[in-house]
Amino acid sequence: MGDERSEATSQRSEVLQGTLDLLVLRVVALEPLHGWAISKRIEQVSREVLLVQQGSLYPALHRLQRRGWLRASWGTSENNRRAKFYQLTPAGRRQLEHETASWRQLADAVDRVLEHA
Amino acid sequence: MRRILDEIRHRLWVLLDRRRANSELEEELEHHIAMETEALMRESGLDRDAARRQAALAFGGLGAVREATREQRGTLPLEDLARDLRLGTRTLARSPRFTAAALLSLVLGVGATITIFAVVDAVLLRPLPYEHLDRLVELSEITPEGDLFSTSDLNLLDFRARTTTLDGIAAVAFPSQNLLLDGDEPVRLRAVPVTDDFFALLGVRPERGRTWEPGEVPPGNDARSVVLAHQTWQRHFGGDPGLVGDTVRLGAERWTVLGVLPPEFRFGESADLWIPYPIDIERERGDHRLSAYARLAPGVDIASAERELRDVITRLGEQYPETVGGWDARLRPLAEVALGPEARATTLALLVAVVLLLLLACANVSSLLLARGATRGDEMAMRRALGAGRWRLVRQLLAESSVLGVVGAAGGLLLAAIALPLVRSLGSGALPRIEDAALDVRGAAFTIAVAISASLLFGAAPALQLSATAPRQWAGGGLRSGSGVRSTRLRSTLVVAQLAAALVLTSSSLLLFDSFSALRRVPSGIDLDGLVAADVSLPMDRYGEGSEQVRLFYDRVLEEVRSTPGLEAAGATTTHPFRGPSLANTVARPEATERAEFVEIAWRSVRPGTFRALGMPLLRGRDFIADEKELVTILSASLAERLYPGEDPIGRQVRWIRPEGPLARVVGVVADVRDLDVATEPRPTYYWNQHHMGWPDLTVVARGTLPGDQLVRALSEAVRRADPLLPPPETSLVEDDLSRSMASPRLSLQVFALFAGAALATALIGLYGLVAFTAASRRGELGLRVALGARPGDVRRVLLSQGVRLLFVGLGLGLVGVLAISRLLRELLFDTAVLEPRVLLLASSLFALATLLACLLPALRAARQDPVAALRSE
Repeated sequence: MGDERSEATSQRSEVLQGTLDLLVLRVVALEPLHGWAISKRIEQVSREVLLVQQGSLYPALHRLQRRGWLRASWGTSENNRRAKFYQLTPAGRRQLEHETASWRQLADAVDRVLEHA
Repeated sequence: MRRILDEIRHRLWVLLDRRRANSELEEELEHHIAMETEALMRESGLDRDAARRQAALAFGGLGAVREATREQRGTLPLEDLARDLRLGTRTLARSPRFTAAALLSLVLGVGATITIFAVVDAVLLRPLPYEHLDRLVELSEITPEGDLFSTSDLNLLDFRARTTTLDGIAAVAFPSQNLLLDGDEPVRLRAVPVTDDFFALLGVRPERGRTWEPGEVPPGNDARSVVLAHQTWQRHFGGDPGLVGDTVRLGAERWTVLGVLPPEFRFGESADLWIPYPIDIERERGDHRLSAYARLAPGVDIASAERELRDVITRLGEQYPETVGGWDARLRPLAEVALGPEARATTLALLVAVVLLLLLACANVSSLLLARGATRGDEMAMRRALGAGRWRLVRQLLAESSVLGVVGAAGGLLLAAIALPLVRSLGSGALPRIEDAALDVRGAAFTIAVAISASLLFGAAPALQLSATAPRQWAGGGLRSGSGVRSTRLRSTLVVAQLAAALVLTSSSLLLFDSFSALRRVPSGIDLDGLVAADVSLPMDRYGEGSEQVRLFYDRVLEEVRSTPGLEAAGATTTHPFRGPSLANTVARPEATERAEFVEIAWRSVRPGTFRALGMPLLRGRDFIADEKELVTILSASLAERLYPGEDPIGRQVRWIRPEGPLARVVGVVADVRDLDVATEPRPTYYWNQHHMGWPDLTVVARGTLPGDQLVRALSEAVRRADPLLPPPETSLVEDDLSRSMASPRLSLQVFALFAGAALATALIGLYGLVAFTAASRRGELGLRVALGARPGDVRRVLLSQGVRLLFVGLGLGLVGVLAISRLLRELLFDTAVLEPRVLLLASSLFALATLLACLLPALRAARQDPVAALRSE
């Protein structure tokens, strides 16, 4: 994950970035989705708590695709438009597991500090 | 591993199909907005237009998203480079005047730098083709009077035997000989005699065959063997490989060709071939005919070798007080000797000038870019506001100046390719080895280095400054004053530096011009009008030194010349005016008993009538006559004054060489002449009558009324009529010889004048640009002043005062610069005090005038403008 860091620091908001990647990977793990649907899905599932900035979403999608974690293909969306669908690759699935594990670890650690400090 | 491959494949795809990748991105983003619009219409019941507006608003800056996404594709650096280069070229093409000015500065600067670098490389940097050059030294003796002198055969043998710090001492013997190669047209070949260890000492490996082995030519040996220069082998023997080992007929004898030297071999004066010189142990110890060269033993430095050598010669002086008493010795690095101090000074001066010009060109381009950059503040701020990153802007500007740099360098290279042959022909004769100056790989590498450093140099400053522009400033309209002040300060610094450098070049070239015209005005004492000279060389086999045949030959020649229509006065002398050789010895009053009482003089041996032919007035007494009864001499005015101050020297006696030397009676006094180098004072000169000192090789001089080329032909033919077997003598107009002798100062002058012109022009373009830019950027303020009642004169004053301030700072720094390089200039100048106030005043006022003009034009335009229009543009 060496290049992950340098990639992240080149963006301005490190934490959000990492989180967004994780969320995107998780959302497309179920089925191929296009960009708009990905952002809507994240908003719905998080009960509108998490708002996805489009300015971050599309760069993230292209970054994940470049890393080989997402695969893109053109298909037809629900309203009969040509749309770009993203789906998880095997490498992406491994990455998702890895990132989920580290997120849980982090969240637990933060919880523990909040409760016991 | 696979991930990396995937990533590379992805990047390649995007890169190769950039257009499709970009249109797909557009489509993807458009799809997002369309989906959002429909969602909004469904959920909030908005109409399509309102929904779309809201969707777009929610999306944020489309351009920024697009830019950020493209950055994530990881192919941006290459894409951007290509785009920046295209954009840069387009931007440059849009402002042709700016581009032309910048390119012109660059082409001139780069072209001149490459050309001069090639010259400096050939003259100064490229090592002489000898092995371990750092250990080769010239060995000279020093006369009791302190002058450098050659050595003698017996001294050389003692030096060899008694020194341990020198690994061999070889010598070139004087005089060189002329050998005739028979053919349709007989050719005279210059044969230089060298000791058998000469080529071994220099470490020269022959191209073919061999050279002599040290010890191969012992004293008394009269082996007839030659080593040919490569050029001689090619030109006169057709490069025949069978020649080596064979014999050739030169003059009356057959000589064995031992070998051929490599083409790059050069030593001292040009030689066509080399013959062996056996050390002559019969020759007097006081007869100095050898120019000696030595190799320092490994690990020995020149100072300790010289200490040992001086001990040896001091002991020799005790042993032979008559001939070596009071003499000293000296070692000088051969590399330094071969170059000569004047060539070094000229070359270094050129290098300084060219570096100044290159810096000027860079400063100018930087200045121009900066000025334009400041007016592009709005554009840059706009780009930043629309999401372009700071480094993205820096990159774009750097790309733009790189385009300038590359095109400028290419133009410069072209200019150098055109200029080099010109410089070679201009400089030949003035600088040693200049004919080797050529563009080569190193030259090209140098160009690229110059182009890159130059483009970075002038690209960096404006780029960094521009990109500091914050987007906010654009919106607030405060940008112009904000970044303007800083950029003006930087530009002012550049302009001051340019003015200073240009002043250095201008005053240097004015000083050189002054010096050169002084040199031209110096009367040499020889009347050049219609004077022509032919170098005659008589083959040794038919004409011996001092023989009757020699005298009869010159009698015939002078008769032939005098009977040629169009030729009048004729004579013959040992020294070709302004060419040489320079002959020196010592003389004294007859009562002198000590060597120290003898004075150093130049001497010439002339035929009767020579003074008249050269136009040298006889001040007292008479000219030589054909059959002089006793040993007589004619003295130059300065020598007569030196030996017999305030007395009439006619009838008095002068002793030649040493206390027991021959005595001659003075029969005449002639005017002083500068017959070798007009730049140096005339030397006291002692004239022999040819009747007493019959040299075989003389220069025949004649004066005529024909046009130049006919004079040359007439004299050459007259000489050949005296002996049709001789090759045609080398004949030239003495006027041409004089101007050739001034080739070096003329070259420096022309080059400096060129540089000064270019530098002045460059500096003025820079200054004009600064004032014009200031006027433009202060347009609003000036308009306001006029609207509030300022008169046009006030506006002019405001703008002019800026230029004048810079002018004074630049002048001050420039004068300091002139002081700094005056030491270097002194070696190039003749008869001109380096800081001659007149010249500096002239340069400074010329400068001030030009500068004011450069400031005045934009100031006038600014003062004329309509205040309302100016204010409105703000």
